[in-house]
Amino acid sequence: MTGWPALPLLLVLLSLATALAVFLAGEARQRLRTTLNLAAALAKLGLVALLLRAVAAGETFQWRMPLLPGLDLVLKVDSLTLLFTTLSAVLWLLTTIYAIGYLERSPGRARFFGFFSLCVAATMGIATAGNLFTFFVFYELLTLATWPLVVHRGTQASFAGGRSYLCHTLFGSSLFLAGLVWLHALVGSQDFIAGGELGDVLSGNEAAQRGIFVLLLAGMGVKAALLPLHGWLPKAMVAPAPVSALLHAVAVVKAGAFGIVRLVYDVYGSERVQALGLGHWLAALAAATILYGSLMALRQADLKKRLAWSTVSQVSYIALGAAIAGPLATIGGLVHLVHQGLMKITLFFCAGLYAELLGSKRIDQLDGVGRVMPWTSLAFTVTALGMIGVPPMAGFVSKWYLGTGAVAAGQSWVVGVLVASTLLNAAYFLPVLGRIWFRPPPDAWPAPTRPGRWARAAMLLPALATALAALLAGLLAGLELSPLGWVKLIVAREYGG
Amino acid sequence: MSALLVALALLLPWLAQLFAGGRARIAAVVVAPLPLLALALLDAGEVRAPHLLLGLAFAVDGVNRPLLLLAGLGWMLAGAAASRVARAPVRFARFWLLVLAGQAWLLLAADLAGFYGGYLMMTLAAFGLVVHAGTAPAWRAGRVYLAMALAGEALVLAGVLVVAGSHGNAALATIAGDVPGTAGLLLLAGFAVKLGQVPLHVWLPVAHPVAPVPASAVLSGVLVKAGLLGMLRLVPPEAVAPVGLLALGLLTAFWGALAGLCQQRLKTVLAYSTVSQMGLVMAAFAALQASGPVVLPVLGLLALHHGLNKIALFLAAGGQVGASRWRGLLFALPALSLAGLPLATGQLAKDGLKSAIAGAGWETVATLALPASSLLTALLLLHAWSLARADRPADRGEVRPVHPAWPLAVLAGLVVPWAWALAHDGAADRTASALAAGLLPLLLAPVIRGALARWPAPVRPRLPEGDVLVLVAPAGRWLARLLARGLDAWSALDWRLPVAWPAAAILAAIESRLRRLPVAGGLLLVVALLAALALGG
Amino acid sequence: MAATELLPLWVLVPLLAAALAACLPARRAGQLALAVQLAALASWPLLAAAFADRGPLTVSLAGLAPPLAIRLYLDGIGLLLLGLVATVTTAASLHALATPGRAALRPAFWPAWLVLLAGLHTVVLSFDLFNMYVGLELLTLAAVALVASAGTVAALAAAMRYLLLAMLGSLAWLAGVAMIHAGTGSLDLELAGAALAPGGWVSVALALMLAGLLLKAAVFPLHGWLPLAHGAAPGAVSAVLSALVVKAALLLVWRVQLWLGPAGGADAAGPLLAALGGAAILWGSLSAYRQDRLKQVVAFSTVAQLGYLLLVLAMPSAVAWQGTTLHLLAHGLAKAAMFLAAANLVRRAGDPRLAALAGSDAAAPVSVFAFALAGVSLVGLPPSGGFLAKWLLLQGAWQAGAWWLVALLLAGSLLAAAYLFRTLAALLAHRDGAGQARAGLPVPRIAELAALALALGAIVLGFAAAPILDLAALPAGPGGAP
Repeated sequence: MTGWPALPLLLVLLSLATALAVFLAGEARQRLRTTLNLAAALAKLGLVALLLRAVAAGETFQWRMPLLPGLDLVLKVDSLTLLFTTLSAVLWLLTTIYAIGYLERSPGRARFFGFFSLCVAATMGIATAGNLFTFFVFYELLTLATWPLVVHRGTQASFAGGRSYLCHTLFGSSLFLAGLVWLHALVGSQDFIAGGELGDVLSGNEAAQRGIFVLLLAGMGVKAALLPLHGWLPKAMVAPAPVSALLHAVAVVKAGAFGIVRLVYDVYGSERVQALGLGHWLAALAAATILYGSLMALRQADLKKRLAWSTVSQVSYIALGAAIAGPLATIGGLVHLVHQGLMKITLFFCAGLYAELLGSKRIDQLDGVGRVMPWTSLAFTVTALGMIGVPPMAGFVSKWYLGTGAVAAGQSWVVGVLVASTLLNAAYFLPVLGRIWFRPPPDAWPAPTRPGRWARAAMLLPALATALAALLAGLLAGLELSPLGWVKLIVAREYGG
Repeated sequence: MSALLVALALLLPWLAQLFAGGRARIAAVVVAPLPLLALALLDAGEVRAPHLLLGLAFAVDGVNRPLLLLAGLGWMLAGAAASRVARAPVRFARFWLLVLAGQAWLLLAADLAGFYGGYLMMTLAAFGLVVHAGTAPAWRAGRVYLAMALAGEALVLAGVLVVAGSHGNAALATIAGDVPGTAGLLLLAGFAVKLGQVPLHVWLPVAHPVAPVPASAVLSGVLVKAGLLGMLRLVPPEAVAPVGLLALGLLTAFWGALAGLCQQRLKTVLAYSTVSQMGLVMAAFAALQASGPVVLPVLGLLALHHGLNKIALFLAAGGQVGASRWRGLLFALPALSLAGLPLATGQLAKDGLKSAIAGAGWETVATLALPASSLLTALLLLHAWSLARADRPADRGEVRPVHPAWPLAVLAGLVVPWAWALAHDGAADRTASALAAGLLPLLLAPVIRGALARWPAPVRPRLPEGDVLVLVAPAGRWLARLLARGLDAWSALDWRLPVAWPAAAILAAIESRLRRLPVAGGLLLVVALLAALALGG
Repeated sequence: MAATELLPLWVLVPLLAAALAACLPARRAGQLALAVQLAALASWPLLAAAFADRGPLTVSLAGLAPPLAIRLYLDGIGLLLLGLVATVTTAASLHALATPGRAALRPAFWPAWLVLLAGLHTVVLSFDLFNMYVGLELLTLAAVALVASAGTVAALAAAMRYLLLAMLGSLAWLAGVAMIHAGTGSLDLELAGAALAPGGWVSVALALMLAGLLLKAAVFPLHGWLPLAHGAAPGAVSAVLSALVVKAALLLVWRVQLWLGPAGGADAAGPLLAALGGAAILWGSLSAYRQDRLKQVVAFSTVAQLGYLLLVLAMPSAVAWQGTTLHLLAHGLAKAAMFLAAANLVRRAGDPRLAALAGSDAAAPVSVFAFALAGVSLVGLPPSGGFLAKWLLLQGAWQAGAWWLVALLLAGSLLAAAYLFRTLAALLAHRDGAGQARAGLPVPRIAELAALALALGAIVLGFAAAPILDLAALPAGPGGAP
C-alpha cells in the first residue's frame, strides 16, 4: 500500500470525475446519472474502507505537487483525515439516495448532482489537505461549489440566502488568505503535523503567532458558524433539504470545524494554543456561540430554521473541544464532528420529508404527524433526543467527554455551558416532539403530495439509517470501530507524537 | 445466570413494545417488570458490558435491592391496572414501557453514565404519562413537570460531569466515598426535585393527580424513589451537614401534610401524602449520612412500605371506594398502614425511623417531631378517607367491578414490608407503650378533625394544587415571555446600512462626466502633470 | 538560431496577410486570419525553446550595429504575451467565424483584425520608441475599425470617442518621444535610457509618455472610453480588446519604467501609478456592480482588473513581478472567455440586459459555465491562475510591508466577487414569464467551446504556473531581471 502515494488524490478525483460525468450526461439521462452517482459513492466507500484498514495499521499516504516555488499542493491521509472522509463518504451515499427521491420530478437535476459531487470532491480535498495552503484551495472550492446548490431553487429568498452565504464566506476567506500570506511571508509552507510545530518555527514572535491564529480562525469560523460570523447559516436554510443536509452535516460547517481542529492541533499544537492564551478566548467564543445559537433557535417558527440555529450551537461543541487543553475534551470535540453530522442530517432528512409529503414546514403544522408518519417521526425523535444529550444516543457521548475534559482541565465553567445548552436544546426540541406525538392531527395538511413508492422509500431509508447510526454510535461507543474508538486512536497519536 | 437476567430486565420492556399495539398488550406490560423482581429476590453481583456506551455496568446490591423489589411488584400491579385506561391505550402502553425501560436501567446501573442515562430516560418518558389525558390541566401539569424535571436533570448532569471529571465513568461503588463537595451539592439538589422536597415538590401534587390511575400509582409509589437511589449512590456526607438534611426532611413532612389537608381532591391529597412521606425518607437519609450504612435497611423498609401502600391507595382512587364496605376496607387498610397502625408495616417503618434518628443523636426530634408527624399523617389520611368515601356511583349508576390489581396491591403492602423487615432482623416493638404510642395518633385524629369541622367554612383554609407554585409560576411565565420578547426584538433588528445611500448616484454621475472628451483631455493633462511632479521630485 | 531570425516575420506576416485579406471575400479572409494565428501558435514553442536556451532575444534589423539599427527584442514577458495573443486571437477568430453576424461579414473586418494582430506583435517586439508608436497606432486604428464594425449607432459613437481619445494619447506619447530623441539623439530604449540624465525636461517627457499610455490603457480616471467601446463592439472584438490591446499599452508602461525610468526617477512615479491602479480597482469594481447590461459589467471589470497590473510598480520585487505576469495571462484568458461567453448569452437571449438573461443556465449551460469559470479566475478564487497571481501579489505586498496594498488586493477580490456573483445570480434566476417571446438566435457549438476553452485555460493556469514562471517570469530591465 505504501506504493500508492496517489491514493488521497484518487479520493478527490473520484468525486471530481463524477461531477464532470454528471454534467456531461445532461439533464435527460436520469438512469445514467443515478447509476453514476451511486456507483461513485459506493466506490468511495470502498476506498475509504481500504484506507481505514491501512491507516489503523499505522500507514500514511502522501501526494505532493508543486504549484509555485515553495508552494506545494499536498494531499495526505492520516487518521484525522479518515474521521472526516468516512463521515462524508457515508453521508454522501445516503444524501444522494435521499436527493434522488427528493428531486424526483424537479428541474435542474444535472446541475444539482454535478455540484453536489463537486462539493464532495472539495470536501475530500479539505479532509486530505496536507498543509494550510492546500486546505485553503479546497476550502474556497467548496464555497464555490456550494453556492449554486444554495440558490438551486432560483427564488428571491434563495438568492438572498446565497448572497448572505457568499458575503460571509468570502469575507472570511479574505481574512484567511491574509493570515496565510502572513504565515508564508514569515516561515514559508508548513505541512500539518500531529502536535503542531509552528511555535518552534516561529518562536519568539508571539504577536505574529496570535495575529495569524486570529486571522486563520476567522476564515474557519465563518463556515463553522462561530459567533459573529454565523449569520449565513440560518438564511441558507431556504435551500432544498438535501442541500441543508450537505451544508449542516456532510460538508460545509464540518469543513470549518475540521479546519479549526487542524489549526489547533496540527499547525499550532494544543499546548502552543494554550501557552499563547488563545485557548480561553476560543473557548469563550465557542461557549457564547453555543448559548446564542440555542437561544435563537427557541423562537424560530420554521422547523428548518430552528434546526439551522441548532447547528450554529452544536457545531461550536467541536471548537469548544479544541479550545480546552487535554485529551478528554479533544475526544469530545472530535467525536462530535461525527455525531453532530449523523444527528443533524437525520433531522434535516425528516424536516424535508415532512415538507415534501405533507407540506408542513412550520412547527405548528407538525401537530400529530407522529400518527401519519410514524417512522419519520421516530427517526426525528431519536436524533432530537440525541441532540439534547440523552443517553445512549451519540450526543451524550460528546457531551460527556467535553464536560469531563473541561473539569479535568480545571475549566469547570464549561460544565455550566453544557448544562445550559442541554436545557435550551430540550426547550426547543421537546415542544416539537410534543406536537408530533401528543397533538391531534389537523383535518387537512398544508400541501400533501403523493410521491411514488420508490421516491418515498429513497427518502425514508436514509433518514432511518442515519438515525440508527446516531443511536448505535452512542450505544456501541465502546467498540473500537465506533467513532469514539477511532477518535481515541487519533487523540492517542496527537498527544503521543 | 445473572447476566441473562440483567439483559432480560433491560430488554424486556423494549421487546414488549412489539406487543403494545396488539391484544397481548396487558400481558406484555405485566410481564416486562418480572425480571426486576427476580433480580431482587435471587441475585447479587455485577455484570459489565464494556462495549456499550462508555462501558456499562450493572449490579444488584444492598442499595438497590429494596427498590428492585418495590419496582418489580409495583410495576406489575399497576401495569395490570392499565387495562382500565380507555383513552389511546396503545400510546399509553408505549410510554409506560419506555418509563419502565428507563427505570430498569436506572435501578440496575452500576456506572455513572448508565445511571444518568436511566435517570434521564425515565424522567423524560414519564412526561408522556403525565400529559396522557390531553386535557388543559394535563398539559399544564406536563409543563410544570417537565420544567421541574429538566431543572433537576440539569443539576444532576452538572454533578455527574464534575464527578466524572476526576473519575471518568467509574463504577458507582468505587466513587461513592470520593465525590467532591460541590458535585455532591448539585446532585443533592437535583435528586431533591425528584424526591419532592419542599420547596421543589410543586410538580408532584400537580402531575400525579392528572395522570391516569396506574400512572399516578407508579409515579407516586415508585418513580420518586429514584431521587433516593441517586442520593444513596452519589451524595457524600460532606455535601450538606446531616442536620440540614434532617431539617429539610421534617419541613417537607410537615408542609406536605398540612398543605394536603387543604386540598379537595383525593388524588391530590394522596400526592401530598407522598410529599410528606418523602420528607420522612429524607430524614432517614439524614440519619444515614450521620451514622452510616446501618440505617440502610430502614430506608429500604420505608421505601417499600410507602411505595406499595401508596400504589394500593392510588389504585383505590379509581375504584369507587364508597360503593361498598369491602371497597372501603380495601382503602382503609393501606391508609391505616401508612398512618402507622400498630402491628401493621407502618409501625415497623415508624419504629425503624425513630430508632435511626435517635441513633444519629437527635433524640429530641425522635420524641417530639416524629409523633407530631404521625398525627399529621393520620389526619391527612382521614381526610383522604372522607374524600374517598364520597366516590360512589350516582343513583342506579353502574358499579365497575374491582380490578384485581387493587386487592393484590393491598395485600402486597401488608405482607412484603413485613417479610423484608424479618429478613433484616427488624421486628415491631410489641410492648404496650409502643402499641399505645402507635394508636394515639389514630385515635386523636378523628377528634381533632371533628373539632376542626365545627369551624365556619370560610375559615377552613384551602390551597391550590402545588401551593407555592401559584407564586412562582407567574414569575416563570413572565420571565419566559420576557425572554421571548427580547429574542424577537433582537431578531427583528435590521443591521443593514440605510439603503438610500447616495453613493450609487454619485458614482454614476461622476462616471458619465469622465466619459466626456474635454474632461478626459483635461484629466490627461492632470495625470501628466502629476507624473511629471512625481518624476521630478 | 532560426527562431531568432524569424522574429521579424511575426510582424510582417500579419501585415502581408492583412493586405491579402483585403482582396478576399470575408469568409476566406477569416480563414486566412485563422491560419496566420494558428501558425503563430504553432511557432511559439520554437520561440520559447530559443528563449529558454539563451534568455532575452535581440535582433537587429538590416544587419546594422545598435546605434543605427532598429532592434527587435523579446524578453520573458514579451514571450508570454505573444503566446497569449496567439491563443486568444485564435479562439476569438474561431468565435467570430462560427457566429455569423454583420460584423464579421464586412470586407474591412478581417483585414483590420490582422492589422490589429500585427500591431500587437509590433508593440511587444519593439525596442525603440518610434516603432512602439507605430505599433500603437496600428493597434488603435484597427481597434477603432473593429469596434465600429458592429454597425450600431452606439458602436459608431463609441468608436469615434475611442479614436479621438486614443489619438490624444498617441500625441502625448509622440511628444514625449520627440523630447527624448531631442535630448539623447536615440530612440533605442537601451541607448536612450543610458543617455538620460535626471532633470526637468526628462520628467516632462516621461510624464507625457506615461500619461498617453495610461489613457490608451484606460487606467482610472482615463478609462471613460473603454466601457463604451468594449461594450458596443462585437463579442470577439471585445474579447481581443479587453484581453490584449489594453495590455499592450501597459507593457509599454513597464518598459518605460524599467528602461528609461531608472535615469528619470521612475521609482518616484511608481507609487503614483500604483495608486492610480488601486483607484481603478475600486472604481471599476463598484461601477461594474452598478451595471444592468451584461457586457458593461464585463467591460468595467476590465477597468478594475487592469489596475492590478500597475500595483507592482509600488513593490518591485521578483515575487510581485511574477504575480503581475501571471495576472496578465490569467486575466487575458479569463476576460476573453467572459466576453465570448457574454456574447453567446446575449445572442441567445436577444437582449443585452441582465434582467432578460434569467434562465440562461438552462438555455446555454456551456456558456454560463465558461462565464462562471472565468469569473472564478477573475475573483482570484482557487484553483485558478487568477488565484496564484493574487497570492504572489499578496506575498509581494506583505514582504514589502505595503499594508494598503494587502488591504486593496483583498478588497478588490471581494468587490469582484460581488459583481460577478450578482451577474451569475441574474443568469441562474428562474424565468418568470415562460411565454415571453425570445428574439434570440441559436449559438453555434464552436462559439461556446471557444469560450469554454479559454476559461479552462485560466483555470489550468492555476496548476501549470510553476513551469511558466520558471520559463519567463520577469520583464527584463537594463540589468536583466529587476
